[in-house]
Amino acid sequence: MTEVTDILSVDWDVPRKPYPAKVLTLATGEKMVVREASREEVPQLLKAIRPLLDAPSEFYDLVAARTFAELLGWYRYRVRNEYCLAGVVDGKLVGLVNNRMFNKDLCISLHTIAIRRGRSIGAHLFAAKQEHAIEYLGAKEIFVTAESPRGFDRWMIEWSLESRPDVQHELGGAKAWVLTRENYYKNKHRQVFGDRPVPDDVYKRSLHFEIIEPDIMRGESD
Amino acid sequence: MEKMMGVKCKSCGRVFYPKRSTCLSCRSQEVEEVELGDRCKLVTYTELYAIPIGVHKIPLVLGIVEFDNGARATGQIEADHVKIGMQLKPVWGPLRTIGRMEVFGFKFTQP
Amino acid sequence: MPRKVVIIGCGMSKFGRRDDKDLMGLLVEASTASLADANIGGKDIDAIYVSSMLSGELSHQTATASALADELSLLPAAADRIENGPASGGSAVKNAYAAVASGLFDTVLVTGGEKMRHVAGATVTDLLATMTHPTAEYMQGATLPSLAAMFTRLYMERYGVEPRHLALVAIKNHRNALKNPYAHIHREITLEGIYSKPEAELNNPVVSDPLRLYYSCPITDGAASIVITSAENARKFSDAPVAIAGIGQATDTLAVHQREDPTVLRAVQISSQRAFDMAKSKPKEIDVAELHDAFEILEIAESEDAGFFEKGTAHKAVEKGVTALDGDLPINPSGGLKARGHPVGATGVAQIVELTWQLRGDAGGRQVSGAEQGYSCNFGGFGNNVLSFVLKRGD
Repeated sequence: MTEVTDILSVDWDVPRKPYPAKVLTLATGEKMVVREASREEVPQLLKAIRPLLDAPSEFYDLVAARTFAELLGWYRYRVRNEYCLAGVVDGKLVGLVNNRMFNKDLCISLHTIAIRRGRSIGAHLFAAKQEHAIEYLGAKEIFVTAESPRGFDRWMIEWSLESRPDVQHELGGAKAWVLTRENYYKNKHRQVFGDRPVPDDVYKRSLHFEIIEPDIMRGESD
Repeated sequence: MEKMMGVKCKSCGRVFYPKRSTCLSCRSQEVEEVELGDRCKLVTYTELYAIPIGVHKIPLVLGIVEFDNGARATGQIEADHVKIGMQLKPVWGPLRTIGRMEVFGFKFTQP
Repeated sequence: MPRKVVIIGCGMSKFGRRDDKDLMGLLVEASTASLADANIGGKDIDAIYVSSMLSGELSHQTATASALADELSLLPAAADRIENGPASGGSAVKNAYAAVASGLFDTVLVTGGEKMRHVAGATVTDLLATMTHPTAEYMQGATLPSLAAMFTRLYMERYGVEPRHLALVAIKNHRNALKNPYAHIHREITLEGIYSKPEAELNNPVVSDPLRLYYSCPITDGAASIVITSAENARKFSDAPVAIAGIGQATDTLAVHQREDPTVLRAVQISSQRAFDMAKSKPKEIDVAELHDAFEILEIAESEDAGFFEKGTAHKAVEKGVTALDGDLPINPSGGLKARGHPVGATGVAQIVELTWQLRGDAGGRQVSGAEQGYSCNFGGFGNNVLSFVLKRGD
C-alpha cells in the first residue's frame, strides 16, 4: 500500500521560487494586485471557477474544467510543481492563471481565466505567469497552447511564439508553441507591467478575496 | 509585366488613380489612360492588427503613396523599415482573398 | 411652400450586446417607444423609413421597412429602407423630412437599427470595409480603422494633436454615458489606465497604429426611432415639439487618398454650412452637439469642420474642458458613438433622439441646462457622405 501511495503522490521536485506580488492599473483606473495563490487557497479558487463549467460560449467551459482538474490535482498532491497567480481588484478575485514546471528548464503554461472581462485582465495575468517562469523560476522555455483562438492569435504575435510541430502540449496533445527566454526578454517591455512592492494596505486587502460571479455567466461581454 | 495605370484629364491635366471616367477637378469626360511609372513616395501609413476576413497577414501595413505626377494611391506596403517620405515602387502581387477568390493588384515595395 | 417639420416623439432600445432580441425585435423596441412618446396610434402613420446598413448581410433580411410595417401593424403605410452606410440614419431622417415638408405624407415614423454582435469581429470589419473604394481601398485590405489611423497620423503631424487628446475625448464620453441608461458602455475609464501608465500598452492595445482600442467605438446592437409631422399637425399630439430647422448633406471623394488635403472633411464643412443656412443659424448659437465619433479623432475633426472651432484647435478646447457636459459647448452628452455605442443604421437617428431629449429638458443627469438649439453630424463612409442637422426647441 505504501509503495503505491508513493508512486501516485507527487509534490515539488524543483525548487519553489515565490512570485513577488505587484500592482497595476487597469483601464478603469482600478488597481489589480497580482499575487501567488497558495495551495491552501485552492478550495476558494475552485469555488470561483465552478460556475464556468456551464459557461455558454468561447471554450470557457473546457478551460474551466481543465483548470479545475489542475488546481484540484495540485491540492490533492497529484500534480507536480504547479503554480497559480491570482488577480485581485478591490478584494475580489477577477482572474487567475496557472502553469507547472516540467523540470528546472521547461515550464508548461496551462490556463488563463478572466473572471471579469473587458479590462485586459487575461493579458496582464498571462504576462505575469511568463514573468514568473522566466525571471524567477529560471525556465529556459515555456510551452504554450490554447483552447480558444480568441486572444491566442494576438499572443502568438505579441510574444513571438515559435511553432514546435515536434512537440505535443500536455493539454490534449494540441499543437505547442514555445516562448523562449530570448523572446520573453525581447517582448517584455510591451507585455509585462506592474509596480513593486505592493503597498501594505493594498496587499492585505488582496489576501482574503471575495468570489464574484464571472461576467460571461451574467451574459456580460461588452 | 503589369504596369500601374491611371487616367489623365485631357482638359486640366490632373492625373488620377484608380481609373475613372470623369475628372474630379473639372468634370470633363475626356480622360485617357496613362502609366503612373515606377517611382512614388510614402505620404502616410499604418500597421493594421485588426485584420478583416480575407486578409492573411498580420500586421497588414497599409499606406498612401504619391507619384511624381500628383496621383495618389492606397496600398499594402512591403518594406523593412517604413518611413514617411521613403521611395517606393509598385509591384503586382496577391493582396487578399474575397470569398474563395485570390485577388491580385499593386502593392508597394522598396525600389 | 414647404411645411415646417417637427419631432413629436422619440425613443430608443437599450444599446449593447442584445442576445435577447433579433434585428426586428430591436426595431420594434425603439419604434414602440417613439410611438408611445408621440402618443400616436398606428392609423396616423402614413409612412415609415427604416435605416439599416447590414440587415441583409447579417440578418438575412433586406425588406426591412416592409417587415417593420407589417410587424407594427402599420399597413398599408408606405415604407422604404434607406442605406447610406453609417449615415443611413441621417439619410432616413432627411428623406422623411422631405416627404413631410412637401406634403406627400403627414406623419412619418423613422427607425434605424442594426444587429452586429452575433458574428465574429473580423467578419463585421470586412463588411463595414465594403463602404470603402472597391478597387483602391477594399481590395488592398483597407478597413475603416486603417483609414482612420492614417487620418489620425496626418492630423497629429499637421495640427499637433496627441494620443492624450484622443484619450481625453474617450474619457469624457464614457463619463457622460454613465448618465445615459440606454448607452452600451457604462464604465468609467481613466487617463492613467488608458494612456499615462506603462500598463496602458496592454489596457489600450493598438488596433491600427496610432489608433488604439479606446480611441474607437465598439460594435453594438440597437435601434432608435423618431416620429415627425408638420408643425401644424403637431399641435394635435405634442406640446413640446422639437423642430428640424436645418438639414445639409454633402459628398466627398470615395477614396480618402483622392482628397486634396485628407485632413479636411469637406463633406462635414459643406453639409454643416447648408444646415446652418437653412436653419438661419450659426455654430455659436448651438448649445449642444452630437458628433459622429466612430473614432475619437473624428469628434475633434468634425467639431472644427462643422464650424465650432478653428481648424487644428479643437484638441486644445478638449483639454480645457470646453466640450465636457459642464463646458461651453457640450459635445456628445449621450456618450457619443464611443460609449453610447454604434449600431450602424441606428446612430444617425439616435443622435437626433438625444438632441430631442436635450431640447425638451428630458435628458436627466446629462441634461445641458437651457439647451435651445442642437446640432448633429452623421458621418458616412470615411467622410464621403455626411449629413448635418440643426434642431430647435419649439416649432
